[in-house]
Amino acid sequence: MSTRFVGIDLNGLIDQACLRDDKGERFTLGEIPSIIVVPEKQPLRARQIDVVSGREASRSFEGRGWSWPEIARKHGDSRRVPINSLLEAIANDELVQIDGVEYKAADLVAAAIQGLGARQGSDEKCVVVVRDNGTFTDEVQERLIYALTARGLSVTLLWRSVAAVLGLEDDLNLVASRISGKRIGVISVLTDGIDISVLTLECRTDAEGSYLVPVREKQGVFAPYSASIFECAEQFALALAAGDEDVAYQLMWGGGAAIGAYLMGHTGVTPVQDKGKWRLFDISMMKQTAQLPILEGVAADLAKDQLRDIDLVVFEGPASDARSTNFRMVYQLRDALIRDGANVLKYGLIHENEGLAAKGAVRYGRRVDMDRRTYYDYLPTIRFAAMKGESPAFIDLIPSTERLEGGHAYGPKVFDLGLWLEPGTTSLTNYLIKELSPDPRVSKIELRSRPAQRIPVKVKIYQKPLAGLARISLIADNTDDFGPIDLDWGQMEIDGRTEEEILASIQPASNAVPPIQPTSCHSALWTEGSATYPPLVSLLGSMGMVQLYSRPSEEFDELVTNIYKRLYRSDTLNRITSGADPDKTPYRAISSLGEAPTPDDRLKQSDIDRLDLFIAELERLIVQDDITLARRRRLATTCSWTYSRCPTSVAKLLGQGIFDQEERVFPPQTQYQCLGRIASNERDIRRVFLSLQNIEDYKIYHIRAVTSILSRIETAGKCVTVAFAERMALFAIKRIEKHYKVQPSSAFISASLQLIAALLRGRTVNPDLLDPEKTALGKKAVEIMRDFADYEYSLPRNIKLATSVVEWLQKRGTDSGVLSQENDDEEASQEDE
Amino acid sequence: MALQAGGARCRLSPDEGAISVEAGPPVILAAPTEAALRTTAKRRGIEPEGPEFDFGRSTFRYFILDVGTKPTESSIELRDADWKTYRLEYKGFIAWPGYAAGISTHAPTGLRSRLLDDFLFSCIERIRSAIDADLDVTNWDTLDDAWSTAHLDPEDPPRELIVKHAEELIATLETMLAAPRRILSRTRRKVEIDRVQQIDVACIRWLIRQPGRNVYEQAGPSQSILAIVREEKFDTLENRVLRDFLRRSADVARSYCGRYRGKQSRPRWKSVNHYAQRCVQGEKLLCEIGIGLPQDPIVPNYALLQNKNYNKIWTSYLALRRRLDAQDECWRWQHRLWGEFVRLAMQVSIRRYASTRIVAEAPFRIYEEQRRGQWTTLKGQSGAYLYGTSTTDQKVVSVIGDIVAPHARVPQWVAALCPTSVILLDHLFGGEPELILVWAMHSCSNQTLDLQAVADSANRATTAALHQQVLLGEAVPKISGLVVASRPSIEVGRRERALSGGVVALTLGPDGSDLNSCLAALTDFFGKSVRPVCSP
Repeated sequence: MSTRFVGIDLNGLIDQACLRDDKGERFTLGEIPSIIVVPEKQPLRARQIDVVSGREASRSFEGRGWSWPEIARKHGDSRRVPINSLLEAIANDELVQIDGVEYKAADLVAAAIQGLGARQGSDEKCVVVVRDNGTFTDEVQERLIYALTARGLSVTLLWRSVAAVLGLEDDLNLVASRISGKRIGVISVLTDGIDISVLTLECRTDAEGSYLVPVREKQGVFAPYSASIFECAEQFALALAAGDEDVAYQLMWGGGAAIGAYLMGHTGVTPVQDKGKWRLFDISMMKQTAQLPILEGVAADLAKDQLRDIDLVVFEGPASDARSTNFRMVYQLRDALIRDGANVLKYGLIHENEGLAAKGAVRYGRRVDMDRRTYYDYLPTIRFAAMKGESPAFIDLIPSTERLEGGHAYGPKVFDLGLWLEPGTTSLTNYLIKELSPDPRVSKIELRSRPAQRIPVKVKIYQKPLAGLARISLIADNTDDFGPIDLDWGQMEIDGRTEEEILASIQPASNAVPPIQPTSCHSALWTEGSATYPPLVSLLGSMGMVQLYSRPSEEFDELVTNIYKRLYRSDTLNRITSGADPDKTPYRAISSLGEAPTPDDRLKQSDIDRLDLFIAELERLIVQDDITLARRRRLATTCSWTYSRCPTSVAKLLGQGIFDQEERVFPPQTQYQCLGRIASNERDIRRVFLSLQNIEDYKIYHIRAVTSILSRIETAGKCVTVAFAERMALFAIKRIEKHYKVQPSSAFISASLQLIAALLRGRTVNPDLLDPEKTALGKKAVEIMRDFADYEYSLPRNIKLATSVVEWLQKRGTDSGVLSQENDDEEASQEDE
Repeated sequence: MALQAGGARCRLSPDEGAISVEAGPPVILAAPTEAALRTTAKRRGIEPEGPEFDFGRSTFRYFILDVGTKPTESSIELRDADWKTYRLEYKGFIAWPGYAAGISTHAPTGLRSRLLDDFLFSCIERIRSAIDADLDVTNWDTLDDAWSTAHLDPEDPPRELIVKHAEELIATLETMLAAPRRILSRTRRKVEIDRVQQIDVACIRWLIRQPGRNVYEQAGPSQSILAIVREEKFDTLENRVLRDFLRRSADVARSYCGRYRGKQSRPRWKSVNHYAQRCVQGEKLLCEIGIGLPQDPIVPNYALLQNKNYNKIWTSYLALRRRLDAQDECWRWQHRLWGEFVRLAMQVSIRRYASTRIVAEAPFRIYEEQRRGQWTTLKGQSGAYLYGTSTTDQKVVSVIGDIVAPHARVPQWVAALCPTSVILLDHLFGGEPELILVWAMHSCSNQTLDLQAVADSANRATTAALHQQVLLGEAVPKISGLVVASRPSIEVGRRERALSGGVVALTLGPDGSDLNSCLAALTDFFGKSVRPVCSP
């Protein structure tokens, strides 16, 4: 059995289906107006909805506005649904209410398409014509295709303009070589306006002979009427019925007599039910003038502008041969085009069953079957925000010049835009712009795991004309890192900003400023423990009874020590789960920004509240006069491991003697170690940096405090002045120079190297800070670090660190983990001791 | 509870032993709605006919009882809400011949039963012809077209499912029978040593248990050892289905050829006959190569679903079985099937009237499987047509096909007459509305219907009901009646038309030219019936 082709034109005014099989090509024509009837009993599944469409629907009893039988009564949400309203609803993604039940418009349209002849099967090719005026967007296509697929129908969509030209192929192919390269305008006269598209014709030759291939270079435009045909026809029906709304409804939607008379000048009698009794309504006897849908002002100019310099014109569409009294604008436009030299080819004559678009749809299917060229389409450009050189820009994923054969796909194409994910990245913000969508869209994607190292990322795109949304995904080189991240345009949020505003908001990823390395928190650090370290939640659970002691005791000290150890200790999920979880990112109980994890089934909010209560208890104790310095130090240090959650009074006590002239409560070492963790706002950071300005000989805890602040807080770089940075850097360089040959394994060396790297965060406000090409200090730093790296007894990890710092100094840094506080735990244990 | 069968009425009383009724005409039972009648046997059934109506102080409804299919089903037992039982014994009961299912255990029950079976089969085929094969939709235009003279070539036997199979599957069957699908199975068997190709652990285990110092000694006097041999096997599920399909197809095709023996010269008959012969040969061949019959339930395997040819056979096999099951059920509900056929025929004949304009028509679908004798979704009012051309004689003809619920324009007492359908005439230029009550009559016993008696009975009932309404002081519309009796075969000398008062009785048959001449008679009846009121 040969392939059966079905072309369907669901235009809202009159359904047209063209069928081609062994018996030849024939048309099925619905009646005006095009409606469907949704039967009362419907299955629960949307894909099984059965509707009555075409002529059967027009003739059915449902909702005709009669007094009897019962099903013919008019309801607010009648079972008699105009397809025009469904097409509008599908475009606006609205639900349609029918007899109290809500349906998706796409499901009903899909059922109507099936009713018009689309069938399942491998030897079936069904093509449905859709409008080419920008309203049938990718989202609308997606909705319709989804609904059709759910019914098991494999339907191809085709632009109306292309279908109209393909419908004329019998005529055009005869003169294919002569009209090759000419521009053809397609004017589709529809219910709410006219769609205007311009295509170019290309001549191809194969064994069968020459034929024309339309090329769609841009999207068609829509020129609306002053009022839609349905609005005008309803007014006309009301005038015919002398203001009787029930009769007007019957004339309009019952049998379509009014719209038939209005559009086509049909005459004759039609039976209507008036107060329960039959009455013959003679339309030909009525002398009514009707409002005309016309193209006004901007719309008319748009139409003329669009059709400038065209060689041929096709008039088609369900309303294209409406009577001249109703559609003088069609004739005006046609006359104007003829005057301008365009060759008006054809008009779709619906009363002669010549559904050009439906016929063209069948021809399209045949061309695909014969492996002939169908048409060339263009794809709306899609642009993705990425770094282009030094600055962010929107990069074309689909070039504007890209031309595709209808039914063929663009891609899957992989773009290497030089993107990468920094270690520790928890989320990604993506911006996309599509040519036909007014607003850019943004999506923020939370990553399942945080990359431990820099991961190069590529963008993959797949798009097919008239097959719904483009498939865009981000893929990593190594698929083990994370699977493809799909950017679903439909799920992305509309970003109200302009393209320029978005670009301005994107932070350029520079190779001159090392990225910060904050530590995140995780509930596992609260709930999991070991033989040495009991879980934090159980420690906090035992707090209640310890609180009974009004004064610190040994039990209390033990509890504080245990909690302190749980707070400072970082761990990875991989280690906690003994390798079950691949995540090797270090986590803490409290993040380095002072955040606690989100409560889940194991960690309750009450546990977090208990920690706050515990810290508050420490705060109460810390200010008491009668506790020893050692105990007070322990309490303050414990509080400081909650970072910005540390109580203000404790922070104030720690700053005493540094930020003011009062007597110190704590030794400077404790003060700076704690302040390095607590300082989170700009004011505190500046005060810490200022306090270091007057110190001659920096200790290691000074250096680590500065590094800790700069590697934790994004905005801390703003507080680094040139003078401060140069002073600290000079000291660090001298220390390295002095020590590296004498004590190559000194902790001072690694701390100094990290300090220099951390000071480069100041480049966010002073780009030339420590630049080896512009400053002598920078140059010297590079020289010394190279010497250090070349020294045979230097520790390998320090050599690696020095190499990274040199790269960052020279603004070509790649090691984004240079500021990671790997020895935090080590430092903390030193503090502990 | 009253019972009417074969023109005789009787009252049913509980637990009083079996009441004997005539099996031929429909057995209609009038029962109070609260009785909630049901049958005691699982496969037996009772279905409501028409809407409820007031009778005396109660609300009643008519019910139609099923006709049994098996020889053991010559009686039916009912039970009401109070758990009281009523038993009916069918006189002149004919069991379903069961030829079509290929079940040879059913003993043939004579010419009449075969005639009836063929008749029912034809009715189903006619109803199913409403499906447009191209668009896979059902509509009135298709039905009208399928029933038109052009498509019902009187010379040709009807295009039933078996014809479709004969036309479409013969080439596929030839291919499949030439090389049925086989599987290679590996079994262990004793093989001569020099012919051994493969052995496995089990063979080695066997071998080492044999006495002897070497293989030749272990092989014994036959010089054969246990080894793996590959065997071709045909007895697979797909081939079993193929064989069953051929067996059933052969039965159905032979039956078809037997029914239309008078059209042996027609290509359609010849193709089915050839198909029947090929099916018989094919079945024999498959039987010879050791292919058995499938056991129900059959779960299709990969080959049946994915292999192009076997899938075609599987689809056709399912269709054939469905059709055969449907025939079985249709025998049980043959009165309802006939009622539906009459409703469709009536509407087709009305829309065929020359000056008809379609105002409204209820869309309908054909069920995949019959539902107690009914195949269409048509319920309630199924059509409205504008009759007449001149400005003075135009009227709207409303066809209320299956009265399932009270209709705004049909008086409630009409339901007590239990018409199969009602036609309402609304004169647009003066004149009272008219009602035509239509009864579909069919006999499922050896006795054929007496057309005159049926017309008289309908006339008497209608007249009585009208008088009753007049006595009650109710305004009564103008009523006429039409009885459409089934005509399983053209019988010489049988009366085809009868008249009794305002009731006309006609016969109708589903086959070819017969159907068309009957439809013409109906069209003529409606043309005359709807004309006279205001015509000059």
